[in-house]
Amino acid sequence: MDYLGAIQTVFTPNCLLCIVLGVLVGLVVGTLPGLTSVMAVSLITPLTFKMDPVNGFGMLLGVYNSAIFSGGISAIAINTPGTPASIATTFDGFTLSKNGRAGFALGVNTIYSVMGGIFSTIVLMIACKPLAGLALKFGSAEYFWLALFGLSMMISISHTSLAKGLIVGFAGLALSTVGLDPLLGLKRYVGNNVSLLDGITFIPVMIGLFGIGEMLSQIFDNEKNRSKDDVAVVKDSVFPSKKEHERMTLPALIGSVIGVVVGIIPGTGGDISALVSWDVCKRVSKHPDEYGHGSIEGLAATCASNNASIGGALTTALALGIPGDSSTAVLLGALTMYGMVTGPTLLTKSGDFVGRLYIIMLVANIFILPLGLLLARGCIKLLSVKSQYIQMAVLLICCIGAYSLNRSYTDVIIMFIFGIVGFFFRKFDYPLGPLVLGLLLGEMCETNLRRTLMLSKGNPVRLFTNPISIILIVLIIIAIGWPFIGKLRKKK
Amino acid sequence: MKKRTKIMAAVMAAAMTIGAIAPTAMAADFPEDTVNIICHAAAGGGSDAMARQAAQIMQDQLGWSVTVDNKTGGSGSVGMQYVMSSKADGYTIGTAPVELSMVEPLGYAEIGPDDVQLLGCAMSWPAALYVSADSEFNSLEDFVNYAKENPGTLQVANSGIGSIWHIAACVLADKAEIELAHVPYDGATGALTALLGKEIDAAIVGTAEGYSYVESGDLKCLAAFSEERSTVLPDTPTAKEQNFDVLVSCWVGFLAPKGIEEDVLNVLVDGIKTAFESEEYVSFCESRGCGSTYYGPEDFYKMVKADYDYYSELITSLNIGA
Repeated sequence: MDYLGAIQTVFTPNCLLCIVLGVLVGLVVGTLPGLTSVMAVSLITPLTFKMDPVNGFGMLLGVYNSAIFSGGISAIAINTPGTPASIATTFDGFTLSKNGRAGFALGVNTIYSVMGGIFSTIVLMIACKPLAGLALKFGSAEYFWLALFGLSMMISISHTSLAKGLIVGFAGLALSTVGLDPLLGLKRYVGNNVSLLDGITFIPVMIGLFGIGEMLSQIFDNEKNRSKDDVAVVKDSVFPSKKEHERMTLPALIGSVIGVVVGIIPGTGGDISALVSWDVCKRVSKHPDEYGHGSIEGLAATCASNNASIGGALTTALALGIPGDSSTAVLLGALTMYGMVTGPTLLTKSGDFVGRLYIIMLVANIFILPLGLLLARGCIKLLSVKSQYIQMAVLLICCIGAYSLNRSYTDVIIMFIFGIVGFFFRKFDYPLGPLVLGLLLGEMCETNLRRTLMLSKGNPVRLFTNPISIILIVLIIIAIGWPFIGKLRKKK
Repeated sequence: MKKRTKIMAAVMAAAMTIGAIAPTAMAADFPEDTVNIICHAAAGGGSDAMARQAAQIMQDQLGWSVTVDNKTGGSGSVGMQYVMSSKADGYTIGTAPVELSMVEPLGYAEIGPDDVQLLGCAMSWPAALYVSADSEFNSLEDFVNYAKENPGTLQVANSGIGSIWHIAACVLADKAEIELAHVPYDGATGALTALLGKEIDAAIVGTAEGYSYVESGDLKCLAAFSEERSTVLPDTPTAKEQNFDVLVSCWVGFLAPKGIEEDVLNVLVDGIKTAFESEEYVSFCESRGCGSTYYGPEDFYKMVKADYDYYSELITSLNIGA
């Protein structure tokens, strides 16, 4: 591939400007809960039709990369993931921020998001075509096991009590069955409500549980918080120390690899990859007890992982024309609008353009670095205002976000209902993670199990015959058996 | 302090006046605000591309501000019901998918051609039967013969139960008197991915969705279910050429809620017509392997109604749906 030519095309003032603009738009969209990267990319796509395709795509990729990165900012600062890809970032990021290390956590988010992004771009440049083949190896049975593997994480994210975690997790699974039956098209728990046909919209639930729930419980505990504020006077630097970098490198690398792999699999993206990475890193870590209580390793893993999923998603999109997630679906749509034929012929027919696209990915990630670090410094100041101001602002932003998602008041109501649920979860010490997990993976699990059985005419053997299935089954057994293995090791 | 309060009072008074005047200025001409197109299908697909292309042309040539939102699910009925329940002021319109002629017979939602205001249509593309490149089938006849010898064993992927490509597979089975096992996937992409990954024996989706995989040599297309050969798959014979009378096409146009004021409606219909008859739009359709014959509101209604009656009969006799 002609990278020199590609660099020359991308390093023109116009193109660089487009990328910077894209990154800035992505920053805003990603930080605001409810405004997702998909929404931003599809809103900007028509604007790019009048531009040169390289400039247009520069803007789109800038938005995409930076929206995934900046979703972590709100996750860290106000415990509300800006996009679903940052759900796992709240686990450790917000605790760090509560302990007075918000600037540090935001710095880590920037540095390791960029690292994940660049890592996945390099993978994309080297092995786009062979890796995309992995997507085709994922049949219905494999999807089912992958979803089940994701669901097995309910155990490790039930911080306090396994029973409570499972109650919440199965409630999430139950909620995921609302809507049209995916294989027969029959209505389930819908009644005559059209907005429920598609199931319970995930993002308002997420904003409610995390954002509204967090703010309600902060308001409720205001007195206690004030005394805490005085205690937490730690010197807060945006840059991690060398020692901290050393601790974070391995988790970030694991996160990046998982991010690329999960990104490649169509229909799964940064949200699942970050959760899986967090879980895997917790298991291999020397300090698993820190996870969920402000672990810098967990933070780095999730930040790197969600951005790494972008490169993964692009492999299948570019090599096969199969979008890895909804944002890449929009990007593929944009490519068609530029007159390119997406599909397996894209790499050969429009190879030059794809080369430019790789360079754009790298440049966009590099632009995120200084912007993100500057923003991290700004955020420290912003967060030092009275907590009442933050609470009011967040409540307002949450309402706007939930509404603007589908311009639907039903979503705002759903958000408030789950906000109250989230408040009581915090009061009675129920974990939020399993509920989100159940809702996120329930449909994938159900559809693919039923489709596999449909394909095999009801014979369950088909679930166990493929190598990837077996690997996933082993992983699930390890995941579920881990606490017992841990106990056995302690006894010795 | 007092002075500031007085100024504020003046500002508020001015604001009130503007607020009172604004509504009278509104009804003058259409569109004064953004027209929002609700697309029933996910971003990245054919219907979405059509909506975005048309929106772009309306912006460029008419100076309208047009946005496209996707509201997916329920075989298109989520998006359509949303449009139907929107204010009939012309600012919310939607894509009219072929499912408009199917969701009611299927029992998914109570939406038929008589429940909406159709605005126009100029995009259609036929169903096609795809198999893996290394498949033993080389013609529709091979496929049908095998299915006759082994009834119910051939598994055919479609883009979701009750979707147009599922109906297309049912029409093929009906006309060729064969028995197929239909497996629904998540959209045409899901069905094609399953075929590329060899999870399934064949897939019936549109010509527009699958032709790039035929060009790349990953898939073979055995037949297009249209009157004439597709421009993007010129080497693929039609089902008719192979003596099977199977004709199923997907179309997508625009609809609006019923009860839009006459003059607003005319502006909308004309605007959409301008977009549909533009050079850009026609070449857009061609490049995707779709026909771009324009149907005005009346002709469009006739077409939808004819499909609606045909599919109602078919769906009842095939016993699919809720």
